[in-house]
Amino acid sequence: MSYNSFIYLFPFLSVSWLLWALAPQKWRPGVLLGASLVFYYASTQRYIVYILLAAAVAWGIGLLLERLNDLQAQTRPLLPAAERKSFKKQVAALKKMTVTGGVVTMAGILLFVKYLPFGARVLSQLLETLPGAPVLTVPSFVQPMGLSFFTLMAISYMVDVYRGTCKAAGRYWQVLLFLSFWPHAVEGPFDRYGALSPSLLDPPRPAYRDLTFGIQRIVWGLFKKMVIADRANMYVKAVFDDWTQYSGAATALGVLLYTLQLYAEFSGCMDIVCGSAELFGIHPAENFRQPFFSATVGEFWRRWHITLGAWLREYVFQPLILSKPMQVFTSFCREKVGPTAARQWPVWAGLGITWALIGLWHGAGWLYLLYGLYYFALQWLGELAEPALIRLAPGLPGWRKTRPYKLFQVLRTFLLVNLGMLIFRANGVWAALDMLRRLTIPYEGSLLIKVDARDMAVLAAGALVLFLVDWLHHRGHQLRAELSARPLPLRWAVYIGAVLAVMIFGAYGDNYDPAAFIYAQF
Amino acid sequence: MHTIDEIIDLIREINPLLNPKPEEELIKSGKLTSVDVMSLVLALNGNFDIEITPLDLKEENFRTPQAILDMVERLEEE
Repeated sequence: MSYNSFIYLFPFLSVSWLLWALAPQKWRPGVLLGASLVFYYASTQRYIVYILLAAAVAWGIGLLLERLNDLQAQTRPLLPAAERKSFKKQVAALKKMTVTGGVVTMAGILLFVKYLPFGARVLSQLLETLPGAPVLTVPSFVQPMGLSFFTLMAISYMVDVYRGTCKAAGRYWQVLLFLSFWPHAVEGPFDRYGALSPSLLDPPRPAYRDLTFGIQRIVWGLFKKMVIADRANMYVKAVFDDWTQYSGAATALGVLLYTLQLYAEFSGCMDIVCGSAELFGIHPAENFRQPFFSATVGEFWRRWHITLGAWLREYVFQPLILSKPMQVFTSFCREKVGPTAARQWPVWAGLGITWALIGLWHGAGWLYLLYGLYYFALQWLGELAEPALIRLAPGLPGWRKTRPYKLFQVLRTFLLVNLGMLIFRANGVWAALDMLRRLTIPYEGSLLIKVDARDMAVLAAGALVLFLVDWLHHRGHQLRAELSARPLPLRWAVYIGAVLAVMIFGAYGDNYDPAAFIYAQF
Repeated sequence: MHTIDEIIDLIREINPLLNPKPEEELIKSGKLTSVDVMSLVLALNGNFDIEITPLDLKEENFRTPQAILDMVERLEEE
């Protein structure tokens, strides 16, 4: 059930909302769970078993960790002082074993289903160099919808309970509702149990403001998806699928439109899902904060797919830097190289691994690995070059505060992100390299590839509206709140205008090939 | 006992463009990124007799040079 389908927007959302609004307060979480399971089952049928299993593991591990905490709190004060320390150590070791078991199980499901065929292929390719080596074949498994999302959310739940940053759920259905909650089950955001569960388990009463704000946001998401992303898809698909036919401006425009498509689609999807949750008074974490106004690629990734970056930072990058092997590496760097290397090299190693994982999270393949490492290389080289740049141009820190330099930084980041998008969308590593080469070859044909002048005009106007809205948000405006304070006729003119724009300019019908949400496949 | 200057010197080693005051905000303002914080953690672990764990990586512990000093002294006592 796609988030922009009629069946989702009308029968599913309206029936769910009505049942939820009419139900007594204590039954409302049950309605949300029922709706989530219907949504999930309608989309994946029998593969729903994966999420049921993941919730069972996470719930069980959470309870076990909570019991160990209780045991420590109740038993430790009763012990003689001499035994307290060793008892605390034993409980800590048990807790670590428990959470490790849960994390390994969840990561194991993800690795087995998503990455095993890729791993076998890589191993086969390596073995091919040896005479008489066997060819490894592994059956491909059907990847259940949202696997990469609910397994990581289950891991964050268990680790948060282990770290004591959230309380364990007492009942199985509470964890199942958190993992399967339909607005974040397909494309995220990666919510945290501690932040979402209060409103999920005890939702606010139905409110007119939540209803209207939710609908507004859904319409805005549909505008981005159907008017901008699906229209850009036609040009993008042609240029990337038949890349050898195009070069120069045609390829560059294809890359630019893919960046526009992915941003409009992914952030549009987040608007639809956050708007859907808002109807029920629930506010998932935000995944975008005007990323194209970033001065550096590091900043870009703090504003683009925010919850994935935050997840990897908290549950991979930080624990990795503080892990025992990294401590050994740090000591090695300190003794053999010096104090500067001891604080830089382990961080760079951790960054490299984290960026590789960001790439591979998007898919099991060399291209995705290259995509992650491209951003690592940019960040790493940027840090390495910084001291030399300051020496070459001592005025640089001062220039960075000026408006023209900030504009230069934003444009530079935009260009680098577009190159990253080329790698991300290309049909393989060689296609990506060939497309980069082709950018330098002039193109003399028409730029209206699979689209007409009207499509281009709608795309340009849509992109302009998107830019203006982002610019105003970047300047601190709260557009929805400001609009709600305007007179009724103006408000409704904007709402009706937005709905009409989707209906009139949305890319659907016989001439169009509406694309499935790109991030749903991850 | 350690001094605030020791902490500020470490921050300056991580980012030579910074020379923060003891109560100057470092995280929300973006003066220290998450990568800088991890470099600082490694430097703190190396220079003082402490072991910073993932549980200590909270914004309030790195908010200002003074907050970092407070964390170091608390961890040394534990």
